[in-house]
Amino acid sequence: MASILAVDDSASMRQMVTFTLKGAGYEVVEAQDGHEALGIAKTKTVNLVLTDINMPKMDGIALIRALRALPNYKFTPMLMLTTESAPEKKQEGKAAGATGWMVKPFNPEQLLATIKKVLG
Amino acid sequence: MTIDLMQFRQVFFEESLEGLEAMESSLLHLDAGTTDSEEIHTIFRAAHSIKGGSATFGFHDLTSFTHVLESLLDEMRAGRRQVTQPAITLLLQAVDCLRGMIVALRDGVESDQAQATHLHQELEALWHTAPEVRAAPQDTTPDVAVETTGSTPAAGWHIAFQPYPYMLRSGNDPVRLFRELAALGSLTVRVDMTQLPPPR
Repeated sequence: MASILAVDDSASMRQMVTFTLKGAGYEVVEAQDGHEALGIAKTKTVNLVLTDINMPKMDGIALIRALRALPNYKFTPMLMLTTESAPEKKQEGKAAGATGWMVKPFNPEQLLATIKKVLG
Repeated sequence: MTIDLMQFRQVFFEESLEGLEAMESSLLHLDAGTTDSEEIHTIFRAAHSIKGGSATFGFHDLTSFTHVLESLLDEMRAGRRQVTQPAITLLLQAVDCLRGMIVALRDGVESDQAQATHLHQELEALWHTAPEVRAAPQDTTPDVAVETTGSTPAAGWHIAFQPYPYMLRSGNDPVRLFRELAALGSLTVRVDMTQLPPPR
């Protein structure tokens, strides 16, 4: 089964995302900021990255930019979880190489449907 | 299919109360006139997380309260709005109010609605005072150019789809779009290879 790297500084959000994804049979690796996620991604290649934007140390956009520069992550789907109040962040994310974005509030059914589409 | 997230409420309450602690201590360290400090980022993230979580759990009062808070803080961290002493004082009151709202939700009791409404209005009023600079309009051009040529619904749609050459570099793939379209009805795909560079 595909493996997913879930990155969020909020413990409750990480738990909800992991619960949803594991329930659907995915393997999930968690990280609490971009810095930790980048370290994990370098030692283990995952099939999809799902990241929050606002995080300490390294934010989601810097993470996507750093991952896209790695040979193993050139074509990996990377999804951002954004809020409706930050449309300019979507543009920044797109420029960094994000595949797409989902708008919070977190909706588990929508998350699974989107992931199924990009992992196809 | 419904996935029950209610079991995560307790973690959200705990984490939000911790976030408010961090927010309060950062606000107390914040000096009027500061721009782009780690403090402002910490304060923003706390408000942002509470907003995101509360919306997920359907705590609408908490969401609308933190929404205006987040908007103000976003302008402050971007250096578009000045951090003033009255603003810091108001933000500290907002932290107290949020703490009360979260504890009330956690314990299943009524929170002080009048205080929340009053503070919410004060925050709205501050938000409506024009900041120094407003955000520039953004580019909303999509990744691909799609042209639909006229046809009647009975005849279906004829879609000319021309992805930009860098489409694959964002982890996207035209095949996914075809798959989505195929799920909507019968689909015939014809490839135009005229733009393909000659093989080397």
